[in-house]
Amino acid sequence: MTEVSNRTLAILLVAAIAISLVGTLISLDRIGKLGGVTGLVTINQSESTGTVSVTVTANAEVTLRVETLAFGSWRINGSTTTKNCTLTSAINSSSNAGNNFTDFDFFNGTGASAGADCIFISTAGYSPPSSFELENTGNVLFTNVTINASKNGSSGGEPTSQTYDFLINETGDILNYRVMEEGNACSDTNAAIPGANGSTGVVSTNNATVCKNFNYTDAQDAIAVQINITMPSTTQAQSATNTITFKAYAFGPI
Amino acid sequence: MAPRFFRLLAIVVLCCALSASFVSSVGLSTYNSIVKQLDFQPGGEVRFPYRITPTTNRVMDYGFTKSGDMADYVLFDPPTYATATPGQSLPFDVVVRFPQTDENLTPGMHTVTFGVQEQTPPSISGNMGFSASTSVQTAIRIRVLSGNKSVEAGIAALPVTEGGDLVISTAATSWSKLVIDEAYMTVRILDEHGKILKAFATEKRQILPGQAISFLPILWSTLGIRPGVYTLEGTLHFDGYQDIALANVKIGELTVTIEEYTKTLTAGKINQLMVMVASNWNHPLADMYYTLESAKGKKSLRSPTFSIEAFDKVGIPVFWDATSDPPGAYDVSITAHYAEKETNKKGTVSIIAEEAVQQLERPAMLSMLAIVLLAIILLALLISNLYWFKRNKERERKEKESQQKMPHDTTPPQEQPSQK
Repeated sequence: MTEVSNRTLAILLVAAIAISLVGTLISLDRIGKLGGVTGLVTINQSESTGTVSVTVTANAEVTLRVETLAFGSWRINGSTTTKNCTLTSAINSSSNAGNNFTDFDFFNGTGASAGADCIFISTAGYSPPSSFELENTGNVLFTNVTINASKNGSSGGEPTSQTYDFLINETGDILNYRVMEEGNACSDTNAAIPGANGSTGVVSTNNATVCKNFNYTDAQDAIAVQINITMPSTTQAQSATNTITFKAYAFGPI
Repeated sequence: MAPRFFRLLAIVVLCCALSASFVSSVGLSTYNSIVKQLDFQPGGEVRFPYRITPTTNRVMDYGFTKSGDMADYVLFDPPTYATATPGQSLPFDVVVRFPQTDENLTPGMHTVTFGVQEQTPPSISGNMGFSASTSVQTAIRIRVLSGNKSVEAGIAALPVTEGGDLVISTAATSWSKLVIDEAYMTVRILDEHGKILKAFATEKRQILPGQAISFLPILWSTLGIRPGVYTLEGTLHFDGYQDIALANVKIGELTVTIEEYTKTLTAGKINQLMVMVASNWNHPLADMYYTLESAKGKKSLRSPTFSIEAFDKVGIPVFWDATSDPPGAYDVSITAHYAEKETNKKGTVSIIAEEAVQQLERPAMLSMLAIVLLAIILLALLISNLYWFKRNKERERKEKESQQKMPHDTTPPQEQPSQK
């Protein structure tokens, strides 16, 4: 018995698909002309009323599209003038789940960067992490969204305990954030919020508002929160991690 | 062919798993409105069904939170949800269990905030970074009405720029089960010394049980009034009773003040120089920064961008590299930049040598009296030493002389310890 070549198999496959498509189209055309049981509702049928009941629940839901920011290991170049290492997370220009932050660039074009005084400790090149990205994936307006951290930098007030200190024993460490909206994701009163419209807010253990009236309408239902760290040259070797909590409050009309 | 296919499939699955692990979400869903409102029901129990919608793609622990003065009456059924598997919808009831009597409750609207929070934030790869978790919060509002005539007065006004018209809003909310036949409000505007600048009265209205009404707004021109904080005092008169509401109103000017800055730095190191900036504006000021110039020190420093809340103040640092600056006084010029305006402050910064700093850190010097006393003690010790030295010498000489006068003995002389 002779073997069937791949070429023959491919031709047979294409032919089968074509026959199947043509058959389907012919069947659909003929079914419309039949008087028997077809599953179609005919216009001659006597009128009757059906009730379709749909219950839409209120769903207050937020999704964190980017939930970690790993800056990697750094040392600070002591030979430069400023001697402060500043790291900034990236602008999520065209990011996850179709969220698009390009139209309303409240970061004012200030994207991911590692200052000249920062020396990345790795043979691989530095790739800045994306900014936190929060999306209103429910169908309820959040009247307020806040940010807080488990640890303070000196810009957020020197903590009394090392447990709450981002860079231990440092007084020059600064933790800032900035908010960028997808479209008009937050209300216009957002202009008054530190961190919005290109201004800078301080990341601290206190709750700070990052968005008021957080929309759920597509194309304007996401915010990106850019994180900026400044480390002075006196920073001692240590691991520095911080846990951020975004709280979304649905306190809208009853 | 097959191994390659499975290898490819494994890579695709791994990629999906990795990309998916960077997303988490939390939600609360319920029928009708997400916020619930109800009246106090003595001894009653009301249940509101909710669901946690954990669309996260990893196992997550969730915790319930609640706060508010009536939070003790709000329970969760089941009380905890330790773990949710991906996509699992977790039903729970918010149960409001009222006490038998409202005797200890203040008439009015009470808000209990409750929500669900992710308990297991993702781990961070590397030594430096941030991880985030989310929480969704909503509320149950409980209205407590009184059997007496209880009405709450409200007064408010938005901050205004100097010279602008101040709009004063007044309101009355009945927390009574009875009809209030006549209610009106008198309003007084007071300065910081308590002096009455202006007085007004609203129209008279009837208020139904549990009803909230607003009186017609009051307009007040602030022309000729200095910027600052003023007090609004509203007295609600209703059926022979009164309730007073107070509010502050700010008349602001768009300026900032550079209040203080670090005036002493140490030579030979990088110093943090803190500048305190205060806002006199009635709105938050965003996108501010300041520059610090010093011609002698050849310094031109710029602060990070910062914001100030209305009438607030913040301390923002810059870093002055004094590694090559000799000790001395340096003139500085600090300029705050905000809302296309500038505020300048000139002053001096002293750079002192590190030795001087160390000297300052030493304990206080001994007083003159202590030095004199110490000298006297040392002198007395010296004199006594000399006296005893001379006396020993004398005794030694006498012993030698007495030995020379005695007859010679056949036994060898005992060894004497040498005197130093």
